[in-house]
Amino acid sequence: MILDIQNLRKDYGDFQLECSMQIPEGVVTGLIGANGAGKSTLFKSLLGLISTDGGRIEIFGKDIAEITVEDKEKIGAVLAQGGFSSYLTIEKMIPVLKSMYHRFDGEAFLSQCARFKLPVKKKLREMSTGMRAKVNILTAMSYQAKLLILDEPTAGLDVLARNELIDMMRGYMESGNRSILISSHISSDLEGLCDDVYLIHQGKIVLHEDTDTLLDTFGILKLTQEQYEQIKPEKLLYVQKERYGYHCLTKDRQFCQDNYPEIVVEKGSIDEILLIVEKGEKV
Amino acid sequence: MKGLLIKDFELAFLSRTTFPLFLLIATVLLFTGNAESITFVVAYFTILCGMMLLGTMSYDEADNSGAYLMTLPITRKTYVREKYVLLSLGVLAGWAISVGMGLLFSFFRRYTIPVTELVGGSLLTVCVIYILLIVMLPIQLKYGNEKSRIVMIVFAAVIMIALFAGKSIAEFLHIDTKAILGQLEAMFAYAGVTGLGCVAAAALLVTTGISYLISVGIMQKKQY
Repeated sequence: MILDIQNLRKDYGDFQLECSMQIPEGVVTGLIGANGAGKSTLFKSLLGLISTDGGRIEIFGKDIAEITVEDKEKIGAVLAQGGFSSYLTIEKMIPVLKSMYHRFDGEAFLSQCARFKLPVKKKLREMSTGMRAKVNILTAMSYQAKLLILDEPTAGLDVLARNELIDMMRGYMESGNRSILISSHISSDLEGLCDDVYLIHQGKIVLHEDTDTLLDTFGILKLTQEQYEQIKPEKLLYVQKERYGYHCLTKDRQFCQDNYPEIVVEKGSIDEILLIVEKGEKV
Repeated sequence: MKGLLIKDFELAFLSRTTFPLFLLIATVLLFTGNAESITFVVAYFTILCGMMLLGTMSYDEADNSGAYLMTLPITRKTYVREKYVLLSLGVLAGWAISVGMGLLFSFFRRYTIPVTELVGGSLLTVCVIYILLIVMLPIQLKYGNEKSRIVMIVFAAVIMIALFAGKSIAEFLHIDTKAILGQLEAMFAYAGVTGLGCVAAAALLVTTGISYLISVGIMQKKQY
């Protein structure tokens, strides 16, 4: 296991993070949740930026407290807020990265920057949001890290820039033996990238599934009061009361379609599933 | 640590336009002053160089880049150590440049200050400046650039009040402070340059050690 989180706890008084998560080798895992759900808190805990109040985090089979500088060379991070000093240019970042990472390939990094038309002599603060996001991701990928921890790397970007970044990540995974943990509040970004997804809500993991299972077998039922009373409760995961009935999340879309032909069964995107999980109640 | 040093020198280099200004002011002071101005110029230039490098900490604060630095292959201790090395290099460079300028001026103006006196005297000044800067370092780490200025003002005020209170208490208890100062002066004279150098070196080591330990403690507890 590349990353193993067991009963991690972080208490902010009015907000508590409590979660467990596993990321095996060669897998892209998505963490999806609304703003304030606890994604950044979880990422900061993994990167040792904040202290935790309980639980255990293991990276590369080692407790986070025992992670060495050599281990950190195998981790690439993108924070939701923050990166290299914005007063530096890409050109000035290179000697810094070269002296910190043994596997940093300056030439490859520069050619990637050229590929994405990033100005190497321009200060990061003078670049657009999209350009800075690309610099952050390219930097994290420039030293053959085994684990990428990417917190909202596509935030604030237009759809074109987001797709470019997602493609970059796909390319990165082609080398194998690498894992990515990526968070986003735009789940459609992650549908085509992640092997599995965790949904986080109010500091707790409320759902963990393979992306294919989530998209192929989960469904959203739109029910009237009478239909809701007829349906087998064990087929429902979450129920959201609506003005004229119920929206329910089921893990067995096909069963519902076959056995209740009169009800509306929709495939539902991860965004729609997240919405029911957030607004509805667990059955 | 090398990577952090490169980063900080690059960031300090951003203030390169102010560096010639420092040099110009130092030169004007030397031109318009007398032999005693050299000591002032050394102190002035050294403190500016030290502050310039210490100022790179404010770049780490900006844009949350300090948090990002902690994700790089360094430890929090390495970050602290690098700041002390950077500060020492800044103070040393400032001292070396300003003493060089002082010696040149002394030569052209035909001052009769012995080189050993100029270098030795300025070293003591530099020690005091260095101690002042390493006291500032943990304060800046803890409170950040903006708040640390307020803390430093409060700190200076506390020292002034403590001195004033000490003087008042001494007067109240009829302690002859002048005699004590005289004794101290005699002690320094007796110790000579070597003795004073040893005292200064010890003070430097102890203050650096305490400041470093406090800084490491602050960094270990820092939440991003």
